[in-house]
Amino acid sequence: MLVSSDTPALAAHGLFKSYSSGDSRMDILKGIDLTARCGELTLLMGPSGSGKSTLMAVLAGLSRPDRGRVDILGQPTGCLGDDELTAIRLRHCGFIFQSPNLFGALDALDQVRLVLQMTGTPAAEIEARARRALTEVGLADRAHLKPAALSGGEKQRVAIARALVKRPTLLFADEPTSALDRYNGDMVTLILRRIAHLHRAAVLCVTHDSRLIAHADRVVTIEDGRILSDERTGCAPSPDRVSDNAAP
Amino acid sequence: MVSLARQTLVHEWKRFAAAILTLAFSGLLILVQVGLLLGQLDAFTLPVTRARADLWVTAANIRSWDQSTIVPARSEGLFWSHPAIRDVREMAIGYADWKTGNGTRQSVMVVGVPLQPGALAGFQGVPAETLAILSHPDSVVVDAADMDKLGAEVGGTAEIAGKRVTVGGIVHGFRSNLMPLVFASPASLRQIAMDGGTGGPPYFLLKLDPRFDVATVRDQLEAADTADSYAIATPDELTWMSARFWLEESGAGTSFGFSMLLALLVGVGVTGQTLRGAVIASLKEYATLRALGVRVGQLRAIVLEQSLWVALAGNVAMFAIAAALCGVAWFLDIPLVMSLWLCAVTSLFVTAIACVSGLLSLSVLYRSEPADLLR
Ligand SMILES: Nc1ncnc2c1ncn2[C@@H]1O[C@H](COP(=O)(O)OP(=O)(O)OP(=O)(O)O)[C@@H](O)[C@H]1O
Ligand SMILES: [Mg+2]
Repeated sequence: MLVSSDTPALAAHGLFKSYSSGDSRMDILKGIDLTARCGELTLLMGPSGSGKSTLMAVLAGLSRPDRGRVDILGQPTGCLGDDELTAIRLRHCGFIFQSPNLFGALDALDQVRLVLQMTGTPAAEIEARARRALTEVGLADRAHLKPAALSGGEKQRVAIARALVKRPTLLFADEPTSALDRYNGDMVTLILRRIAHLHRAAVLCVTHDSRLIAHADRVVTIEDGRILSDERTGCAPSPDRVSDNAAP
Repeated sequence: MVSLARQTLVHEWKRFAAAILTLAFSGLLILVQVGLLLGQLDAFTLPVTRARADLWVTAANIRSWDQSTIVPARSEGLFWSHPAIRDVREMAIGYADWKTGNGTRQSVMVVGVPLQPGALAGFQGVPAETLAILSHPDSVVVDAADMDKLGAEVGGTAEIAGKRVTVGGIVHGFRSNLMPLVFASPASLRQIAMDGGTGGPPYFLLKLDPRFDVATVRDQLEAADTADSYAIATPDELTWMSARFWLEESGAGTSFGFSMLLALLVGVGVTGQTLRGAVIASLKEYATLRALGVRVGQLRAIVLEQSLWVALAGNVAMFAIAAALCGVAWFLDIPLVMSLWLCAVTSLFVTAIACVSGLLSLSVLYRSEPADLLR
């Protein structure tokens, strides 16, 4: 990647976003500054309705802010068209949602292969890369099963494999563990952490689950559209010791 | 290679079965209708298509082959004088009442079969032995399928226009939809019809030297007829003209157009709804792909691929059912003609319905907003 090592994976400045329904206007994001570095697992926490998912959509280029700028790997995204944004997501972004959103007709391996196939990966690499991604989430022996035959936790892990198989620099996860039991939740969290540390990805994870804090490098708390606190957790040794506070 | 479209079709076959069957029946509706129509047209123009003529000379200004009255007998010399002509033969038909001892009465068309040996002798599909029967005085031949209607049996007798004839044998595949055909020698027909000196037969059949172009010869012979006393057509032209007339007269054309429209609407309706439903059921999955950088155009390709698979399955189902129906029709002696081009056109029609349905269901794709997955 032609990006200098201290360019943040993601940098947002002065983000504002509001929704209007009828006459009333609701301000959801009220001036958010946030940077995320490669190699870190960052948690976004906060009460329901505080704007976490909205923030994540704006950061990931899935929706546009009313004001403010978002740079992905140093590249401003505000001036890009939809197609260019899609191309940026294709190259750099992975997503994990609350529900796994798997195609009922495809087995686990094909779910992962489909993404590679549709994002222009050379055909010769597809099979091996898909299998490696499944192995990474501990599902090598479930590759031939369709979603109907997979447990909730296994489905979510297939979804993770699908997100990480294109080796994204940025991984966005919106409450990936909220539908899972404790064991599966822990497993998913550990996988996210490994993606951050091993693959040097910037992992941004929205969660309500305070147990995840133990595994995170950094916890950002949002309330009412503003960042309330931004803390590094001592317990998880981050390979990247550079401190980056939210507001410059 | 993962084919989401194909694998979804297999996995959710129950969802798609309705669309596939609807497509198949839309196609069948057309296939069978046109097949029956072609069968009827064929039955209507049997003598035209089965005689061995290269050109038919008829009275001028007819709209259907059976309307020909008189071609002046003196024209025959003119035909012979053309270098392309190999053979010229009169042909006649007559309408008469058929009566048998057991009380059956029926209007029939008596067809005079050219018997003199030569290139124009007999009809295609009538074996030489049967022609030999016709050369016996007062012998006639009828189609096996008309035997009941005529109350006839082989070796039995009947009265045509008061003249006693013997049913000498049967033919197959000559069941007309106008009225039963009775084949007789030209001499017998003359006796039955009793119109000796009206100035000429209703038809002349012409056989050409194969080195000459049929259309050119026809034009030359028509140009030679300054009095406009006859018309000349190839069997195909005469069949087509008669078919058009019959379609207009019987209203079969309108009813066919209507049911074609119906098939189109029902096909697009049900198939479109099914494909739409399939897209809607996978909206979140499509949105996830979009979030990961897949372009909407690629998703469109998936939906269209899906409609092509549905079309393929619909075609297979259609031809399977059509084959079964053909068997039934053959068994019941119903004239059903399945020509290759009819099958090809119907197949295209079915594929087009599926594609239109696929295109219509594309609009739903735009509801797959990846941002909606973040809640
Ligand atoms: N498309 C939209 N139109 C109107 N209002 C919206 C829209 N999307 C979100 N909102 C509103 O924005 C506010 C913040 O929503 P958001 O989904 O970001 O909250 P959240 O922090 O993710 O909450 P939760 O923890 O419950 O998921 C909510 O009050 C929601 O009603
Ligand atoms: Mg949310």
